[in-house]
Amino acid sequence: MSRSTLSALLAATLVPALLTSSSLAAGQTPSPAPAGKVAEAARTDAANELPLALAPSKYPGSPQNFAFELRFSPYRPAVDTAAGLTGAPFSRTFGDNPRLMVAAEFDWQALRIRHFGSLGPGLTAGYASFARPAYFTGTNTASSQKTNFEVAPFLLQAVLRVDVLATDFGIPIVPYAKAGIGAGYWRAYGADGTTTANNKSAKGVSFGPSYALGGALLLDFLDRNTAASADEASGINNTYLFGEFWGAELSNFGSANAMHVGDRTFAAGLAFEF
Amino acid sequence: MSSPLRFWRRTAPPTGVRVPSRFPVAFAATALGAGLLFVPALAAAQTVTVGSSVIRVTSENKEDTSSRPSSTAQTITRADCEADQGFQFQISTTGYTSSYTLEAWAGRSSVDCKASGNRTPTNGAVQKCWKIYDGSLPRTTPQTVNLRVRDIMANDVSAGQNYVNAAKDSTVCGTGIDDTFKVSFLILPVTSNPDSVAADETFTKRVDTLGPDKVSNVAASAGEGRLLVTWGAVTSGSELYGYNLYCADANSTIPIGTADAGTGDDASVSDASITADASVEDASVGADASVQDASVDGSSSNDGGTCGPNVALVEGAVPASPLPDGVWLCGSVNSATAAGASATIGRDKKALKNGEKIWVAVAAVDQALNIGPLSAAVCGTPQPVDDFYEVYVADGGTAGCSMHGSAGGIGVGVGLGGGLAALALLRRRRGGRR
Repeated sequence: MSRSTLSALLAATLVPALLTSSSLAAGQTPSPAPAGKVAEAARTDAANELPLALAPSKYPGSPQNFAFELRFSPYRPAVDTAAGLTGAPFSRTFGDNPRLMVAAEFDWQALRIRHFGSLGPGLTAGYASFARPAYFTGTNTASSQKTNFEVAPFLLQAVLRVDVLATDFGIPIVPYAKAGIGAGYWRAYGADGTTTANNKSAKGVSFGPSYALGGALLLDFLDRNTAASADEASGINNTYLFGEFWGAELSNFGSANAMHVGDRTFAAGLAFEF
Repeated sequence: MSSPLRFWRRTAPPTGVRVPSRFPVAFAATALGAGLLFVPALAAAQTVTVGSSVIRVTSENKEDTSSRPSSTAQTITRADCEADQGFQFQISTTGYTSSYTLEAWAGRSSVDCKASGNRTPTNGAVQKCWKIYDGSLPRTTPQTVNLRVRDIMANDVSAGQNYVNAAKDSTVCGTGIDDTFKVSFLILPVTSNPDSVAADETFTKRVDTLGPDKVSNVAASAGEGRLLVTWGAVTSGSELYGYNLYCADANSTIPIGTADAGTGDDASVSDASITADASVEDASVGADASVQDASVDGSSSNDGGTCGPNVALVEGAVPASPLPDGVWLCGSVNSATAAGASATIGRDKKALKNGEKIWVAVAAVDQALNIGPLSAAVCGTPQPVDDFYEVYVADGGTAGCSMHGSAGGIGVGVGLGGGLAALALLRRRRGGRR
């Protein structure tokens, strides 16, 4: 039996066993690669005459405790839904089209549940801004002067990721759900800085619940060797492409005295577990 | 600001003497006698040296300590000329007796003013140098000599052998010069041979009073207490530094300047203080240049437009100093991009008044801070606009902070992040105990 054939057999039998028999305790989570595919990859390596020491499937995986998401969403705060408003000032000023919100999320996968997934707190920070030429007072004629609105939601949520499909069944899909509370900082400003009116400064913070439901596509299966190398080199266990529906009811729980800066929208982006 | 310059020292070359061959004995005797007579003079050969430190001085011959951009350190600009600046030299001489005179002559750098033909031409030749200093007295050494930049760049030979003294007249500042001039300090005999140079020293300086080309395609649109101004490229203006924007109100009655210096016409002068002091407020950006604090009648207007012309902002004129009443520098842009940028300067650092008609014109500025001619003026009237928050409040919205601060989103984010970090730390400690 040649050395390459031996290495292929070892990879095909030992690695899935290691994956499925590991303790799955938090901090030592293996890469959720499907066992069958790992074996197939190992055979491929053997066919390519890779030395046993270089077979990526031999790498047990670095500790996994955290996740990071880079998120992109269309966003349009629900300012005009506040009770007591006689008009739709946000629509009149900025129109009805949402703007891009860029956000980042950091999750701590504090609890790993064997054959199920992970659970832990996550912190999200995002930013979106709106700018349009202001109308001359009492007209519908746009001036050369811009009026601006910015919103920055901060969300603290419990994040549940169900990765059993990927780890146990070889299906590279990880559904997840999030729920928590959020605070949305907002500010309206012009060329001279923050706007003022009625002895108030146009800025504040609105609180409320937040939630999300989505699914992530495990990208490791596209190039398992690269994924394993990335884990070994940088500690990134898994890379995902995700999409979700999310909402943040940032209105001080429906208060008429709060700027309603939440939205219900979609998000997409990349996620990394490390 | 003083600018140390390098010079070199020269001594008068020996004068050649031709010996007649027919009368050797007689000539020898004559020569001997003459030699005895002139021994003292030959022993004291004349030299003239310019000290290494040449400083710029004000019109009152005091050192100019104002800051200058590095781009103008070695240049006489239009602003310098308008301010009647000068240079102060320390001239050291030897052998400088009452038989000699110290003079300074100026000319283009390619002209040798030591050659008498360029100073005192004969047979209809053209005089190429002009006298800018006549210092027979005193003969102390080192001797302080102040030369006016207007004299150096006067290019005026009309006075013949006499001192040009163009410093009294600022007209020369607007003649649009971009050339290098040379000043020659000469020690000349008073009587025996007035045109023979006993010693000389030179000093060169670039003169650039030529501003950039006129800005075109200026347009303006309105905002609250401001105007947004745009303009087209300055196609042929090399060494572009930025732009000045000049505003005028309806009370302005005196033209800001009279003509375009760049054309070589008689012109008024640029504004030294303005060019030097014009603060660059906002050099951001690209295609739109914006003068803040003015705004138009709801729409842009060019060449007077619905506002009509303004007496002060004459197209093609170069801004003069001081600016007349009702005219002010309302913006400056430090941007070499020809398309413009945005500026946010208003009137006296404040917003323009809504409802007050304002005219604005743009002038390009070169690296020497020479101001080009004014563009055609555009006008507008600032008007109030509806900011989002004003609309929100008008519609019954009540959200907002009191005028004295709020929690702020950063604080919220820090709080949430701190909470998460505390949780992680707690978890880690518990894990450690196990």
